[in-house]
Amino acid sequence: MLEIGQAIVAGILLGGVYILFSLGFTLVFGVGRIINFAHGELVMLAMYGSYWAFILGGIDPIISLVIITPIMFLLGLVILQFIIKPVLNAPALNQVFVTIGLMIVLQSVALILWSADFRMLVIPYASKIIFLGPLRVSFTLLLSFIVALFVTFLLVCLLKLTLIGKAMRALCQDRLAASLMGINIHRIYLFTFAIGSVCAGIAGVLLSTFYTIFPTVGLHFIIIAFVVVALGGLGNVTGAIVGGLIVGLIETLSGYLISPAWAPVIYLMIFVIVLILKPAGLFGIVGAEEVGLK
Amino acid sequence: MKDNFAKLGKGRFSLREIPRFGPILILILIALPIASSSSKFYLSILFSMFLYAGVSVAWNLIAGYGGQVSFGHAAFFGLGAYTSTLLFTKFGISPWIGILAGGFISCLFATMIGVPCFRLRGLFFALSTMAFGLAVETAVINLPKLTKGSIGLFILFKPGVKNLMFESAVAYAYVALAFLLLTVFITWLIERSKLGYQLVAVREDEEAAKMLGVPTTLVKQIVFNISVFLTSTAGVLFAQYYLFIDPTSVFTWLIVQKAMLFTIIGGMGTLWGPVVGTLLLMPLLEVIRLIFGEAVGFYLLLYGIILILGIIFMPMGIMGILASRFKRTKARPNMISSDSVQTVLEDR
Repeated sequence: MLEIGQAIVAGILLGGVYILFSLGFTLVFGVGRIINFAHGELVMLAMYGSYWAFILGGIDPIISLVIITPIMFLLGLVILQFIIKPVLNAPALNQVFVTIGLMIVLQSVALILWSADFRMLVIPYASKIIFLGPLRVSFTLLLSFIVALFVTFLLVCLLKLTLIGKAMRALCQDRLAASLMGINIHRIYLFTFAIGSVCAGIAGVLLSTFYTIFPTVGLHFIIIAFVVVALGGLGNVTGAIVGGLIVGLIETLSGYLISPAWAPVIYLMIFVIVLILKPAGLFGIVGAEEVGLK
Repeated sequence: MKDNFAKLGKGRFSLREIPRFGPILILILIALPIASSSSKFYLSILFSMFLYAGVSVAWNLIAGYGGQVSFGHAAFFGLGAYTSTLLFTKFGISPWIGILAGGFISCLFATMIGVPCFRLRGLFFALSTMAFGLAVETAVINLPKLTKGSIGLFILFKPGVKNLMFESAVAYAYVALAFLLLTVFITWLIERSKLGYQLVAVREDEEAAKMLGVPTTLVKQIVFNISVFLTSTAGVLFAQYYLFIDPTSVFTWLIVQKAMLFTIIGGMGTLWGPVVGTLLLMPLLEVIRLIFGEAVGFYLLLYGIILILGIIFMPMGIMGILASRFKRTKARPNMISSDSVQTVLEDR
C-alpha cells in the first residue's frame, strides 16, 4: 500500500515537469497552429546545456537556468523566423514535415557534438531523500516539481494578466478578428514560440537532474507531450495541466504495477483510446477545424 | 460526361503511358550490368536503394495519394522481418511464405489501427500510427522469449531460391529491383483505377467525397493495407539480405524518415516521385555516410537539412514540378492548398 502511495507521489511530481513542457507545446499550437515536432529536441538541448554547465563550469542546474532560459528564448525566435515562418501559410502537413526536419537536424547536431553516449548528471544532492510523513521523496524530483509549478504559475499569470497574454489568447480564439483589432500577428507568433521553447528549456534543465541524457531523448518527451495534449485537448492550458498529471501518474503507476519498460505502451494505448472516444481531448481543441482535426 | 468518368475509371493500358515509364526503366537497366561486375559495396547500396525506393513508393501510396500520413510504417517493416525470420528459424518455413504471413499479420494490425483511427483526421491519424509503431517496438524488445529481445535474431545462411537467399549480391539487387517494380506497378494500377480516383478525392476533400458516395473509410483502409503489405515485404527482403535483425535495425523511426524524405523530394502523390527521390538522394547520403562514418550523424544532419529546404522551396517535389511544367498529367499538389486555408479564414 505504501509503495502505491510512493508511486502516486512520484507520479504527481513527475507530472509537474511534464506539464511544463507540454504547456509550451500546446501554447505554440494554440496561438500559432504550429505542431512543433522539434519541441522534444529543445528539451534535449537544454538537458545538455545544464549538463555541460555543471561539468565544465561547476554551475548548479538551478542556477544555470539563468543562462539557459534567455538562450532558449533566442533559439525560439531564430527557429520561428528562419525555419517555420516560410511555411506558416503552407498546408498543416508541410509544417509538420519541416518541424520533423528540424527534429532530425537538432538530434544529429547533438549526436555529432556529444556522441550517442548516455550521460547522467551527478550533482551533490542527486541522491538526497526527503521524508514526507511515511513517504520518501527524491529531493531533485521535488525541487523540479516546485520550480515547474512556479514557472507554470508565472505563465498562467502572463496569459491572464498582461496585455501580450491577452493578445495571445485572442489569437488562440480567432486569428482574423485578432489581426483586425490591430494585433501584430507575427510578433505574437515570435513571442509565443520563444515562450514555448523557454518552457521546453526550463523543463529540460529540471529533467537533467534526474533523467538520463542522450541525443534522441527528445523523442520520448515529444511523445509524452502528444499524450498530454491528446488527453487535455490541443491548445488548452487547463487541459495540459490535468493531462500532465495523468501521464505522470500513469507512468509511475504502470511502472510499479507492471514493469517500467511497458509504461510507454500503456500510455500510448491510453492516448489512442482517448483519441478514439473523445478526439477533442477532455477539454476540447482550440481551432480544430482550421487544421483539419475535426 | 458520364462516359468520361467511365474512361477515367478503367485501368486500360495505353501507349501514351510508356514515356512515363521509359526514362527510369532505362536508368535502372543501365545500372544493373555495371552492378554485375562491380564491388560488393556498390551492390549493397544498389540493394538498399531499390528496397527503400520500394518502401517509399508504398508509403507514398497512402500518404501521397491518400493524404493519410503514417509515421508507423517502420512497425510493419519490422513485423514482416520478424514474422518471416521466426517462421524460418523456428519451423523452417520458406521466406516466400513468410512474405505472405508477414503481410497478413501487418494487414491485421493495420486494420486494427485503421478501424478506429481512420475516423480521425490528418495529424491525429499520423500520431496514432506513431504510437502504434512505438508500442510494437517496445513489445518486441520486452518479449524476449519469442523475439530474443534486443539481442536480435540470426538467420543461418542456406542459399537457394526456396530460402530466398543467394550467393551473389547481384541476385539480391535483382530481387530488390523486382520488388521496386512491383510496388510501382501496383501504384500505377491503383492510380488509374476507380479506387485511385476515390483515394485522391478523399485527400482533396473528404466531406465532399463522402457526399458523392465514396466509401471514404473503406477506401483508406484498403489502400493502407496494400501499402502495409508491401512495406512488410520489404522487411522480409531486408532480413534475408542482412541475415540478422534486431529491434533497432528494423523498427527504427529512420525507415519512416527516409521514406518521407525521398517521397517529399521526389514528389508526393506522383507515381515516380519516390523512386526519383531515392535514386537521387540515397547515393549522395551513402557517400556522406562513407566519408564521415555512421556514428557521427553527419548524414542524418543532411537528411534533416534537405527535408527542411525541400519543403520550403519545392513542396511539390521534383516530379510535381515536372508534371506541372509539361502539363502532360495535371499537377496534383498534395494535401490542402494554402488557398483553401485562406478561404476558411475569410469565411469566418
